[in-house]
Amino acid sequence: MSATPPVTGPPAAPPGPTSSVDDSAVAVLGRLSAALDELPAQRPVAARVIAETDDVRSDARSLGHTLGFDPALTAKVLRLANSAYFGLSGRVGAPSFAITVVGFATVRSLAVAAMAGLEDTPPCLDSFWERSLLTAVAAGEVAARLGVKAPDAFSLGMLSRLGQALLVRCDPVEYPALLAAASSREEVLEAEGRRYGVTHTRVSAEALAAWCFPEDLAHALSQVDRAGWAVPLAVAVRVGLELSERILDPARAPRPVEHLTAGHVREAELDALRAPVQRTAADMVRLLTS
Amino acid sequence: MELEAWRGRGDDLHPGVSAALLHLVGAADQPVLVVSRPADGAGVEVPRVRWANAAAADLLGVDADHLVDLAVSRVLRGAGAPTALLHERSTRFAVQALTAGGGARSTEVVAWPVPLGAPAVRTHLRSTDAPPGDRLALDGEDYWVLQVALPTDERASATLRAAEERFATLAQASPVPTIVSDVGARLSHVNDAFAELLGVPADTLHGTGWLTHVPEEERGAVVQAVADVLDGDRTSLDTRLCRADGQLRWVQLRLAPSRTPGYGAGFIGTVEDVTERLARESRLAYQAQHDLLTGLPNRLALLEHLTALLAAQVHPVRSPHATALHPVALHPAAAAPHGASPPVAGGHPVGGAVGVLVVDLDDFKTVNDGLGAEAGDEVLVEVARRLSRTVRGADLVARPGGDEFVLVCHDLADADAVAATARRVLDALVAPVDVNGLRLRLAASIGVVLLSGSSGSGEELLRDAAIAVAEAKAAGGGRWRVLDDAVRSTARRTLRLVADLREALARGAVEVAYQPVVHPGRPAEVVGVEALARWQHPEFGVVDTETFVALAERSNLIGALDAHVLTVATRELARWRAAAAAGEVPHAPRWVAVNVSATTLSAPGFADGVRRRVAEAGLQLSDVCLEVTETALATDLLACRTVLEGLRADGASVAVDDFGTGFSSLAYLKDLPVDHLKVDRSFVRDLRSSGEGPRGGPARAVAAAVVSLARTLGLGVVAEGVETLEQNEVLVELGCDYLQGYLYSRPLTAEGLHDVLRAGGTLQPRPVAEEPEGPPAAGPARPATVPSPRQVRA
Repeated sequence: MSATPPVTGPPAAPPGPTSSVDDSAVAVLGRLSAALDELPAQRPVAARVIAETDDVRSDARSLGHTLGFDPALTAKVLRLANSAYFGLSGRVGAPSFAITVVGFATVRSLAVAAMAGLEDTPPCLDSFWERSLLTAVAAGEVAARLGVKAPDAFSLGMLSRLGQALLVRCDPVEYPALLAAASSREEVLEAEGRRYGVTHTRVSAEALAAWCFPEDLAHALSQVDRAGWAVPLAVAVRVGLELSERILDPARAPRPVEHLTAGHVREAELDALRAPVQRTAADMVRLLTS
Repeated sequence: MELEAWRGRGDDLHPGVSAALLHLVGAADQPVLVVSRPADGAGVEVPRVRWANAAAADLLGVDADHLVDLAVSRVLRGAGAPTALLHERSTRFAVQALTAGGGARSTEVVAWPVPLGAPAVRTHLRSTDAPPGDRLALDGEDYWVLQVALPTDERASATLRAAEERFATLAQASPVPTIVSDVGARLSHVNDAFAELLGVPADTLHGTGWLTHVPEEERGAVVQAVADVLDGDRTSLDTRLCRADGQLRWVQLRLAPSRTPGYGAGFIGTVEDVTERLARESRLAYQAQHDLLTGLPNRLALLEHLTALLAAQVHPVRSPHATALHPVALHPAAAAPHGASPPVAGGHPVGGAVGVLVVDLDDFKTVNDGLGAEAGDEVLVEVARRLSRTVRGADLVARPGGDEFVLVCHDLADADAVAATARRVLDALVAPVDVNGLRLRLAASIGVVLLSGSSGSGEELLRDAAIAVAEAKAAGGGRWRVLDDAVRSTARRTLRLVADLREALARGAVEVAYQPVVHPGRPAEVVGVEALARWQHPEFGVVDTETFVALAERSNLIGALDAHVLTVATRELARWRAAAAAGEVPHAPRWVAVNVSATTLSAPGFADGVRRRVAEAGLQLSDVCLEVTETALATDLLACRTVLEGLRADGASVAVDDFGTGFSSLAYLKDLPVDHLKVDRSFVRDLRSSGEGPRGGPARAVAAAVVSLARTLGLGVVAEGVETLEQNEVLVELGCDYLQGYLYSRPLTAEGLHDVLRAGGTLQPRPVAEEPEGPPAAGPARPATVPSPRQVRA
C-alpha cells in the first residue's frame, strides 16, 4: 500500500463526485482493498519471498531456502528456469540455482501470481496466461532497446493483468459480463474506467504496491494505460501488451508501435519479435500451467 | 510471516534487556518513530508520534520531546493515509519528510505493527486479564514502529552512477567484444565490438539472442559455462560463434560472475576472436607436416604415418572377424572353395599387405642443374600431382625431400598387385612434362618394401626402400625393385663393408701393392711402379678392388683412400731411394703412379694435399704421376685442368688411364693437361699373333693408332695388361715406351719390390699360365697406373 501520489488513492478512494461509478462498484473497490490485505496471509511463504527479494542482504541461497516452503511455487520457478527463454534448458536442478537463472524479479512475480491465486484463473479470463506470458516475453525482449532491465519488464509484463483476476474475484458477476461485452482490450479498459473509475492495470499496480513490490515497478505499471508520457519500463509493458493482443486478437485494430514507444521500437522490429516471442511464451505457458 | 517471527521470541523479557533494546534503538543511526492511534477509531483518527529516537529528531530538525503527540502526517507526509498503517502486516510506503526549516525530502518508511506476542504486551495482557488472542489495545491504542530510510546520500549515488557510466563507456568503446548479463543467461548489454564480431545489430543479441549464434554442437558447453559462472565460478572456454554471414569464428569466452542486489546473479564476459591465431597455429602445424612446394605430407608426417601403421600391425584392432586371420585352421569347413582366393577378414584381403614405394626421379639433378631450380620445382609439383592421382583414398603420397617421393599403398595382396602399382606409377610419369618450353621425359626408379610383422621402425623401412631404389637405379633406372631377402642381405653386407672400410682407412689398414712398370728389354729395367690399394677384410678376406673402390666412391671415402695410397706410396719410394743412395740396391724406381678419382680431383684442397704429402715424404712432385680416367676428366674439364696444370707446372706428371675406353676425341685430347696415355688392357689383350694379317691381329691396328696418336700429340705411351711375349713384341715394335703386366710381374708388396730392386732392379718376361681375365691372384689391386710422362720421355 503505497502513499506515493500517482499510485495510491484510486483503489480505495473513488474519483470525485462527477464520476459515474455506482455504489456497487464502490463496494467492489472496498472488497478489493480488503483482498489486498487478506491474500498475503493466505500465502505467507509467497509474501515472505516477495519481501526477501527486495532485501539487499538476500541471496539465491537464502531466497531458495524460503521458497522451499512453498513446493508449488518452487516447482514453477524451476520449470521457468528450464524454459528456453532463460537459455539453460534442462540444466537447472536446484531451487537456489533456478532463482539465480530467472532472477529475483521473476521469482517475485511468480510469488505475486501465486499470492493472487492466478494458478486457477477464472474461465472468463480468456487465455489469461497466454496473454500474460506473451506480454512478459515481449516486454523483456524490447527492454534493452528502451534502456530498462529486462527482468523488470518481464515481471511487470507478466503481472500487468493481475488486476483482472482481482476484479473477477471481487466482482464475480459484473466483471465477467463486462469482459464478455467488450470486443477488444481497449473496450475492456474503457468499460473498466466507466464502472470502477480505474483500469485493471491500475489495480495490478495497486496490488504490487500493497505487496511491497519495489516502488518504481508499481509506479511504472500504473502508467501503462495512462495517456501520455510514461517511464520507459511502462513503455516496455505497453509494447508487450500490444504484441500479445496482436497475436491473440488478430481482429483488433493494431496500435502503431512507434506511437506507443515514442519511436524507440519500429513496426518491423516488432514483426521480427513476433515468432520468437510466440514460441518462447508457448513454452512457458506449458511449463507454468501444467 | 512477520507476525510469526515476532511471536515466540523470548518469554518474559528481563527489564534489563528491554532497557538495552530501547537504548539500542535510541542510539541507532536510522530514524525510528513509534506511533499509535486509537484502536476503536475505525481508522479515522490520525496516528500520533509517541516516541522518536535521536536520528529521527535530527532528520526532522525537532527535538525528540517536541515530536511526541504530533500527528505523524505533520512530519511524515503520506504516513497518515488510512491505508498506510495496517494491523496485519508491515507496510512500506513513500513519504515526504518535512523538516523544521520547511524543507521536504522524499524517503521511504517501513511500518511494523506492534504485535500481540511482544513480551511487554503479554505482561500487559496478564495484568489486565484481557482474553488471549484478542488484538492488543494498549491504553486503547494500536502501535506501529516506523523506520525511516535514510535520505539517499546524493553524492554517493552520483559517484556510483558515474562509476557505472564509466564502466558502460569503457565496455561500449572497448575493442574487446564484451557481454553483460544482469540475471541468468540473458544478456542485458553487449558492446559494439561483440555486435561487430557477429555482424548483427546489438539489439538482436540481448536476452538469449546471442545463444542463437552458438552452433548447436557447441551450445552444451557454452550453456554449461554460463551455469558455472552463475554458480559463482570464473570460467573460460574455447568455442565457436556463427556470424550472420554464416562464417564460423573461434572465440575464447571468459566469464566472470557479477551480482546485482535485488536482481540476482549475472556475469560479465569477454569474447576474444582467436580465429586468426588458431589459423596461424594450424598453418604452422600444417607446415610442420607438409612439403610446402607440393603440399604433400613431408618426412615427419610420413614417419608418423608409418609408425602408426607399424603399430597397427603389431597390435591389430580386434574385430568380430579377427579370428578369420587363420580361417582355414579355425574353420576347416569354411576353407575357401576357390582355393586360390586369399583369406578375407572384414572384407579386406588379409594378405593385403601395406607397401612402401620410394619413387626416385632418374637424373633429376640434370633438370635442376640444367634448367634451374625453378624448373626443377615445376617438375616436382607435376610429379606430385601425377603420383597423387595414381593412388587410392586410403593411400598416402609423401615427399620426404629432394626428388624422392614415397607412396604408402594398402591392399598389395601379392606380387602382381605390387607390380601393377609400380607400373601405374611409372606410367604416370611417362607423359612428357613441359618446362620452360622444353618437353622433358621423366623416368623414375622405384624401391618397394612390404610391411611385415618384423618391420623395424619407419626410418628403417625407408632405408630399406632406399636400398631397393638404389638397386633399381643400378639396374639402369626406369624400373622397380622389391626389397627381397637377397637384396636386403647384399645391402646389409654393403653397409657393413662401408663401415669397415671407413675404419680400415682410419687405422691405415688398407695396404698398398706396387706393380712394376718396365722399360722393355731382356732383362727389362724397372723404371716406375703403380701403387694399387689392396684391402684384406678380416672376415671376408681380400675384397675385390672394383667393389671396394665403388663403395668408397659411393660412401664419400674415395678421397681418403686416394690420400692414403699417395702417402704410403711416396713413403715407400723415398725408402727405396734411400736404399739406393746407401748402395743397398743398384737403383730405385724413378716414379710412383697413383690413381686419382674424379671426386678427389675436384675436391677443394686436393693440389695442396698432394704437395704436402709429397713433401712430407721428402720427394719432389716430379717423382709422382697422377693417373686420371678419361671419364673423370670429362666430368669437369675446366676444374680438372686448373688443378692438374698447377701440379704439372711444379713437376708432377699426369696420365690418362684406360685410354680408348672413354669418349676422348682428338680435339679434346690435344687440350688435355696430360703427359701420357695409357693403352687400356682391352686393346693389349687382343694383340695375338694368330690369324690373318700382320702380327698382332686386327687389334694391332687399333693399338698402333693409339700409339701413333700419342706420338703425334707428343705424349708418352704405356701399355698395361701385358701378359704374353707376343703382346710384348708387338708393343715394342709399335714403339711403346713402357710396359706393365703379369708378363713382368704381378703387383708386389713393398718388401717384394724391395727384393726385386735388390736383385738388380730388372725383370725377365715370364708368360703366365692361360688366364683369360686380367690379374687373378692380385685381383684386389686397383687398375693399373701410368708412369710419369716426363720420366717416360726421359
